[in-house]
Amino acid sequence: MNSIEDRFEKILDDFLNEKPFLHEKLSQEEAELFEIALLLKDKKVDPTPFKEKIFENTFTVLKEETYRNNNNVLSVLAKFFELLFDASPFNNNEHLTFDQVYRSGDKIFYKIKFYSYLQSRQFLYNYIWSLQVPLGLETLH
Amino acid sequence: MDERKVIERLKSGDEVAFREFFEFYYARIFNYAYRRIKMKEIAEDITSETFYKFIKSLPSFDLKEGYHIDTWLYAIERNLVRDWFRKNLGRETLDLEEKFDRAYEPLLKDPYDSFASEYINKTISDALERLPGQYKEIIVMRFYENKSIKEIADILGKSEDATKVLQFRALKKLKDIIEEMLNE
Repeated sequence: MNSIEDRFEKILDDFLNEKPFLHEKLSQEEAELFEIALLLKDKKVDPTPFKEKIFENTFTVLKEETYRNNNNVLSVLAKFFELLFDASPFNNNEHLTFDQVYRSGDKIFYKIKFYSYLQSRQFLYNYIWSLQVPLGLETLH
Repeated sequence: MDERKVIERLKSGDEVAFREFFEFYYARIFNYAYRRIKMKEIAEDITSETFYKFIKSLPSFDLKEGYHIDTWLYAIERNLVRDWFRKNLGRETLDLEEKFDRAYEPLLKDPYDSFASEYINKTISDALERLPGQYKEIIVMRFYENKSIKEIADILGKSEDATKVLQFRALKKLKDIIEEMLNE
């Protein structure tokens, strides 16, 4: 016997025994009956056995992502410029670091802030002061 | 919980923040997937994939006004569940689930709503009561008592093939009754 009833019973048996669902797409009729099977099967499952495994895996991904984001060339350059020029763009009275501006992906905001900063007196002061540092001179202070 | 601060701490890779965040959402994410798919391994995969996609989208995520972390997480999870249904059932959503949604309209649409599942369970048990004798018997033995087709065939004194046919018809009849009840 290899009828639709037989095929559906194989699918149902795997489903009820928590085996991987390794079947081709279900036919319309089978899919409708599978919906009923989904409604009927209501065993309570304790989610905790998988919890730590999922935590470890996802936290590893988070660490990798954070490392990658903090160490790409643009981010490192942003930190360098920030350290050198102490650029302080503001958005709604909230201080933003270069890195935050870069990560926000708001390129127009970044451009406006950066170029207006380059034209400012503060930039000139910081730039000149930064040149004095290697010489140990702080005459401008 | 200040969600903006949570996002900033997560973006910086803060383990304590991630532990708090994970503890708060893990059971909800897992239970939602399990309630939809009813297979623990698949629910586990979907839970893991939801957190994975969440982390991957963190750098570009901007918490806009009126938008919350759980809205974002739920959107990721719902897409994963839909993908699973599309791959395995050949469709993204379930007809009956949509009908249940229309029949039962909670004041606040919460994907983790337990009242919705209580309502579904009550409808199913009422529908079971309306099933003809042998149909009800086979559904109860197969789904509630976890008996195999062979065991059921022995009890009913039928061949395994005849039992499979009976089970198929019983499920079809149950579906018709549920639909009738939802349309009433």
